[in-house]
Amino acid sequence: MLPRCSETVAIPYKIGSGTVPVLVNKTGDWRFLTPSRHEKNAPCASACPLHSGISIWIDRVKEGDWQGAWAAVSRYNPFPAITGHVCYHFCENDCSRNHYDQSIAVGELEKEIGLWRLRKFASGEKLPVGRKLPIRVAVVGSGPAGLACAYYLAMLGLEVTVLEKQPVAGGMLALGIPEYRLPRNVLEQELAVLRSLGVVFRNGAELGRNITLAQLREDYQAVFLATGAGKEKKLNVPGEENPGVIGALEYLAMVHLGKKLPDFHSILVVGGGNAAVDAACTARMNGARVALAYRRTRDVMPAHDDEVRSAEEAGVQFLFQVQPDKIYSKSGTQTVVLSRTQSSRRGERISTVPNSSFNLACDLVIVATGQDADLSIAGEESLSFNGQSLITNLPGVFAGGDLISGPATVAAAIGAGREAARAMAAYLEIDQSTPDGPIIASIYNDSIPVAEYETLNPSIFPKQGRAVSPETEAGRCLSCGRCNRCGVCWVFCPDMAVAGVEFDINLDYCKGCGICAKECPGGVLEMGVIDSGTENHHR
Amino acid sequence: MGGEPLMKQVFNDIPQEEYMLSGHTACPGCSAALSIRHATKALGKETVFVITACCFSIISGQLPLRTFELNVFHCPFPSAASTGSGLKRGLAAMGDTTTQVVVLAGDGGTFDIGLQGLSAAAERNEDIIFICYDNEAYMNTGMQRSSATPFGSKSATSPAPKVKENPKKDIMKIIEAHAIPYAATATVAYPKDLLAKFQKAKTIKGFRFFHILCPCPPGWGVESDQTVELSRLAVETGVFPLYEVENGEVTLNVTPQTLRPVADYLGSQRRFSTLSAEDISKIQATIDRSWQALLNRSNTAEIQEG
Amino acid sequence: MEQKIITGNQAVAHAVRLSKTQVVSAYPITPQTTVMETLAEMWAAGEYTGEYVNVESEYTALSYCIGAAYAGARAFTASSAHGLAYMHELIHWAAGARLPLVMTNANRAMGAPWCIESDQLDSLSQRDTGWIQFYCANVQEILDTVILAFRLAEEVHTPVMVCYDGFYLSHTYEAVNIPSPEVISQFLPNPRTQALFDLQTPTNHHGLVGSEAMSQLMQVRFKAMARVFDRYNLLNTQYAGITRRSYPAVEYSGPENAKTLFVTAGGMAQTIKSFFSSTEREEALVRIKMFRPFPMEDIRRYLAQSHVERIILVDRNVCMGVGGIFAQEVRAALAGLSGLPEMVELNLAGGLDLTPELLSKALLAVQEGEKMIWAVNLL
Repeated sequence: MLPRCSETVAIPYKIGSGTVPVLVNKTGDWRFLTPSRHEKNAPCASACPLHSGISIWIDRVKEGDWQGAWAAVSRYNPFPAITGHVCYHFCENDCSRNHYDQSIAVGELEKEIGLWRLRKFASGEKLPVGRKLPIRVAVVGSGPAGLACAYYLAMLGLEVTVLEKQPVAGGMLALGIPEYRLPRNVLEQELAVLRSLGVVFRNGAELGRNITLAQLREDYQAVFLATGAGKEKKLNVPGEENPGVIGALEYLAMVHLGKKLPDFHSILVVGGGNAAVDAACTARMNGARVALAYRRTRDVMPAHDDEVRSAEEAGVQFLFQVQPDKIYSKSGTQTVVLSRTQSSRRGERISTVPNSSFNLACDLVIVATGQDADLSIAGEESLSFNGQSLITNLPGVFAGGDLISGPATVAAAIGAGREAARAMAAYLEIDQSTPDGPIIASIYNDSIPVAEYETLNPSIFPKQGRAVSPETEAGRCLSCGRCNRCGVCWVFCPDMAVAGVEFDINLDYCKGCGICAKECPGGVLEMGVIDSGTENHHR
Repeated sequence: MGGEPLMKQVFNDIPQEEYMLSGHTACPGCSAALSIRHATKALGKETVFVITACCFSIISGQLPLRTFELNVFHCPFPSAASTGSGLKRGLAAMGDTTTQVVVLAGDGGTFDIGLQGLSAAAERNEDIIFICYDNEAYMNTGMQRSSATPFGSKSATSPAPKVKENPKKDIMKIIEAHAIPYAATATVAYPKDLLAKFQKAKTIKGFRFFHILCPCPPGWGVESDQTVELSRLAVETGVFPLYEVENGEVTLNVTPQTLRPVADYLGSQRRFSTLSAEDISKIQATIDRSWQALLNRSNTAEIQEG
Repeated sequence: MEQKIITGNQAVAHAVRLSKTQVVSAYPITPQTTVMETLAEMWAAGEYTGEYVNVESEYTALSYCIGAAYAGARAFTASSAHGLAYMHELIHWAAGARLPLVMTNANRAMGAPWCIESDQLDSLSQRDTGWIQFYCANVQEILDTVILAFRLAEEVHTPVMVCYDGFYLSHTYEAVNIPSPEVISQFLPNPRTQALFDLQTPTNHHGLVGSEAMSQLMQVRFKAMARVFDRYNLLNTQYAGITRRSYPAVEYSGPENAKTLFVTAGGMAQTIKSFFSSTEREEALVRIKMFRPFPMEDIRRYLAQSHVERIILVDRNVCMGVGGIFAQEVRAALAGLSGLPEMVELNLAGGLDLTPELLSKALLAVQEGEKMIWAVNLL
């Protein structure tokens, strides 16, 4: 046994050592500025003509939750397969990652969701309609605006009839947009979905000709006018009335309706918008030599750059800074007299270069200098619109899409159809909420600022191009303006004051350094002097 | 590509466990506190810290408090490496070979007063991790010049116009000269890189050295929210390249295709406010040279985009 | 037990080996160096089985031990003179951290100029660091004191410095009884096999404190130091029970009613003793073994007696402006007592050898009424 001294030593070696957690220091007292989350509009949603909540449904895609993605996207846009094909995706231009590496492939992701939903439909899975209401509504025009409105009204449980003057449904989707941009089977499937929701299509019904607005108001409790902007503008040059001169929409409709056209060997398209380019490409695909004459320079062409590029690739010849003065027609040959123009910006007056005229011979002249709404639809009713809004002077009559805005995009038209459905539901006093959330997304609030891009941290967000897998690609989304719980605030807090699954900021300890706000990739966290959460600790 | 979506990666790659507690008394925006927070996440529970005189003498808590969820032993200023080595040897003598002994020292305790003991511990290849968190001056005593203070910087003991005339000591070269198994630079702007390096270091036996640049808001004259951004700029401008030296082999971890101009880094720091355009070109030239030298001897690696 | 003819430095090495020391940090300095050389040989031969680390300075030698003691290991280092001075802040730190370290110091003069002789100013300069200090008088005592020191340090959580004269003891061969490990293990518990700290109990050791906490801690240390006398006496008795060798904190030798007392510390005591026995003189010797804590009571008991007429304080060190440091401490211990004897200082600062001839001359000088006798003037 060891001889031990009996006295125990009172002082352990630990004397002078700290064991009390430093949590008792409420360092939140030091704070001058307080971080808080302020959601903003995403640049993509802001740029999107229908203000789709892009990052919201992308969030679902990154989780592999396609059902959730469909549910989220369809509140903004019921036809993601269509817009996935035809939309110019202004969202991608404004995407924050466009400043960093490459924009998110919003269009592709949108298309994937839409095609996923169409495959489900093809395998027999119908969209659930929660209820049926004995309310009859009419939609005039089956273009994207009309179809979108019909979709939402049907989902609300209403009896929807779509009136279409053409023998096929779809408006510009069927007759204007070239097949190479929108495969027609996609449109067919979307129409089938609508029919499965109980939407009735009446083709050949033309407002102002074989039906009247008054009659519609009689038969339906609400009417949505979405007849588009189908009245083609004139060139206002001599010879325009010749049979060898045709409007772009008229030409595209004839092609898409399968009408037998003469074999045109050479075609001149006049105009610089999307319709001009579509017509030029369609004509080129039908075997003609095609030239497109535009009165200004390429950089100010209103047509989308992608379209112009694909027209160039297809072999369309571009003539810039020329405008037609006159068209002669003789035995099937059109001779167009063109003058050169001085360079000008859009909206400026065109002036021609003196003595610069030259002739160009072709089989057909396609005029694509714009469209107007055809207001003869109102018939005897005195219809008037209220600016860009969806309501008209007639109770129960709504109007939207190109009819109101003039020629715009498919996405804008779908957005207008959606907003019309919202307005009609309100007019009809129909609650659009369901246990799974609202059928129509809440109204886009443009008074909220748009999140601005700030430099990203390449360690957290490696520079990388688009991914092949939709889930991974969706994972690149920064969710600008909206907290998607990425955790960057948590990662960079020197005070461990960000915690929990919601990344709450613990104001007991937050010293207000501001790193979280600076590093927040979504631009959601902001520093402010207003201190809302400090009641619970002494000052 | 493929695998986990990026946002999930951000969150999942970084261990949830915290070994530092809220309530510590580091200045707002302290990148040293943040760096060590992440280092401890990688180091884990079986870690003992030896802390020499530095900002962490304060940050680790005043009696009876403690900031770390780990055992911490303080030691006199020049003795960081030797006390840590002794602690490790003491544990080894008692049969504990698994507990990591991690020494924490500032630039003063590493570049200046601690250099002799550090060099000796490295030469003996003591089985410890030595972390130098470098805020480029004696910050805890109020921003006095150290041999880690860069050329042209003001400090409490090199006030304008007598700003520092000499370049910063290249501690990594000194450390490398000891032929230790692992040395790495890191900044908290690249937390995953920092974590991965600590995770790697844990698996290596022998002397392991970390040089972590830690922008200091009061010392550098910057806002408290700039420290992560400056840590990143230091890397992107080549002021502080991220690399590892393993048994003499150099690997660059972040290799920008082109370096950002150093003015982007210097510009917002008040300590550099007296730099002339000529000074900045001189600094740029130095960086360009050392960056090229590093590229030449590194066996890197992918060139990062942008 | 075996008997060997060894030097003081070798005795230290044997004691360190027998104490099952776990970590030794080694750095050479004359006259300590052969402690570490002997330990290295033992280490190479497998006789010393702990960690042996060649460090780059005395500063690291002690901080290395501090680290090892943080872990809970039994640690040892040795030094002299400038090495000890270089350690100075760590000597303070080890005491403040209550680490049970043992360090030996072979006394040597402090420069400038360079001098390796056995002045005691090196360890006496560390007087106020809070370490327990012993001064040994022979080689056997060095060995025994180191073993006692480990036990004492670990029981009172205070480091111990064992000092002895450079060269006069460090390099002098004497016959020494070296206890067997079995005997030592009856006295000194085995070292720890588990860390002193617990990974599950995070603690911030020896971090920042305020003045109030610091004052309290210093009071605690002060009180702990006061208990060292009793504890040492108890341990010395136990050790004597095993080895038949006893080393009181203050040793008195000579006739009980001696009128003249020599007071000294360290190896000079041996010279004085042999001087007495060879000349059959009437003087007695008071040897101070324990310098910190200072054994006030014993000093008073032996010195403040009515039959004592004269005290000769023999110091091999000097505090400039005051005098010999042991003398100074003795005077302070007797302060306030009435009827004190005459006090004379014999000073051998610089490491002078105290020879019988020198002692004779010194006694003559005392007779002539000198109060401060510089031995160097008697050569």
